Amino acid sequence: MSRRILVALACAIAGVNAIPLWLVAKQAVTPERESFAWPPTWLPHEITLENFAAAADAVPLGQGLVLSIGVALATVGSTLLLALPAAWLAARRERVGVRLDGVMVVARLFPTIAIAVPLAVIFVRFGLYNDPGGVGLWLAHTLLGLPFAFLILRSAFRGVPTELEEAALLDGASPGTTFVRVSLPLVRPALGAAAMLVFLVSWDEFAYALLLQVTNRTLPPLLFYLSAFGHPGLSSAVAVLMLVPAIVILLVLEPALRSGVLAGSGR
Amino acid sequence: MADVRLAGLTRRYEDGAALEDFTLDLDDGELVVVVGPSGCGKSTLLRLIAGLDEMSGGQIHIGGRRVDGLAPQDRDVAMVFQSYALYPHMTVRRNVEFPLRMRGVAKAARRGRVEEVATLLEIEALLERKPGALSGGQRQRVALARALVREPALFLLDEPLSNLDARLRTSVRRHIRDVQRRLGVTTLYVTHDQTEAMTLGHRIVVLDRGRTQMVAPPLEAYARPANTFVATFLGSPGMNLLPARRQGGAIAIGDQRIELGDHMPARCADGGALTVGVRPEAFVPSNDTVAVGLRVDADPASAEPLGAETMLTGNVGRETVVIRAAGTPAAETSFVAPREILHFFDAGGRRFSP
Repeated sequence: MSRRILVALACAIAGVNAIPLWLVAKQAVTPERESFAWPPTWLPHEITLENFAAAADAVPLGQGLVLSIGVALATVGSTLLLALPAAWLAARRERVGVRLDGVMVVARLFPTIAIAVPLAVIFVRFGLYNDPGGVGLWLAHTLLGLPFAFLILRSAFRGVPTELEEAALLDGASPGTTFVRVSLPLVRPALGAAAMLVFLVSWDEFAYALLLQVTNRTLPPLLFYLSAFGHPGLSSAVAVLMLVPAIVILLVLEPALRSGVLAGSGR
Repeated sequence: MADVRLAGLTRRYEDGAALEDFTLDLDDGELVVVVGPSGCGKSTLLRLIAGLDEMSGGQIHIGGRRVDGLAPQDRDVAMVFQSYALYPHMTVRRNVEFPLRMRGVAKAARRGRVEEVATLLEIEALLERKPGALSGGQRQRVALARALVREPALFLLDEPLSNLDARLRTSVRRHIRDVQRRLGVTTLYVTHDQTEAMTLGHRIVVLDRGRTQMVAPPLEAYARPANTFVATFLGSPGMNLLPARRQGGAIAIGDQRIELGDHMPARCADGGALTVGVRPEAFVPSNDTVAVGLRVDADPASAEPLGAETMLTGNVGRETVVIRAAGTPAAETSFVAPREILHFFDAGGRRFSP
């Protein structure tokens, strides 16, 4: 009985989430006039790929795609590189942990919009503003992703028994080797989750992308222009394009998310 | 394998000492069991020796080399944790060869050593499994194998049997003892279980609240406990302790006067207070032999027959005394503990010699 209610609830949630997805997908493959039809139609009457071609003509879509993927992957790398040692330290040393918590939360207290303008000023000084490789944006995104990765990884490291690391030290491993050979493999699911989340944070990020890059844009501001200038079909086409890498990342990281790595360490 | 010298090991925290001035010399190949109630400092002791915790004072020498101040990986010490601490993402083989890998042992030599120690601990069939697929007893043996594979100078065991069920405990205990004697590795074994202490060690160290109470071979500690703590801690149930007072050549316990003759501890002043200790198994039925000693009438309602023996309680003055009688004695038996096997402790709880 309660199982049926759960299934129904799951279906309802999935349905609610699917409606906008379906509408966007429909708009992407139908002529724009159909998007404005009243009453709105649920099923496409005429299927076409003209929106994709038109969007590519209107904005530098290929360049945006490359930059978006590049910045997102670089952000994942830099964020994890910074978050891993910080999270481990915070999990193992309570005093350090409390301070790092504070720093991470403060970094998220201000709306990105409020930081974006002063950040743009600083980046102009350092020659990172509107960088064709998106280096400035990458740094900003790292700042955004860091708290998420930190919190996920810290709680994961807390779940790794200290005794496993101590055992490795006694078995002759250096602290660095212990981290790489014992601690790191045991937080793999959390590492996967953090990577996914950080990728999506960068992939969807709009405010920094809008204000730190003017001509070398990532996909979200391009999509914003198409949408703001009244092209629901074109912006839907870009939105559908944006789904593809996100889904690929999900599929790549999904196996890592499966838990159970810690089973059997103890009694 | 090496002899070990622990001198004045001390660990203090802000809220007090966990271990105070612990001194012990272990001979090469000796197995010493450190026993005490939880919180007595025995785990702290192991962590200090292993280098996982910082000492407030003291020195550690292993094989003539001073090792305090060295990192854990440089001390040549292996440890079996209470939780086993097996690496869950590695197979049993990977777990066991990890210490060899970390020391750069060549692949062929590694294989040989792993097979050898796996045979010794009877885990050959488990080598390709992950710890998650093993039973508690199997994990325990893998943990032992991982610690023994590189032949450490000193082997530390932290309550290795506490997570096993009672039946398994006996067989693993015997196994640990056999392996230790066969390999001749100097071993420090920590437990709160006095059965393990009695059966395993060449010597035992009784710890309480961070302080050493007694160091002796197990049977000697049982026969001649150094103080009332050791007397009550060893044995199950522990020794009965009764307040008494010396009156000339006799002592008064409750309403009894026991003539001690030669057995009177010389150090005890006439009229002075002392504590008398009686092992529960020291009592014999009083109707068959006439012996001078402590007499107790057992309460028939308290009888707990265990087959080979029966547990009873009785009163001496206001104190309750536990009696462990052989077989199943008739109800309302009165018992006597002969004066030759009574123990005497001074007002501070220390044993009167001898």
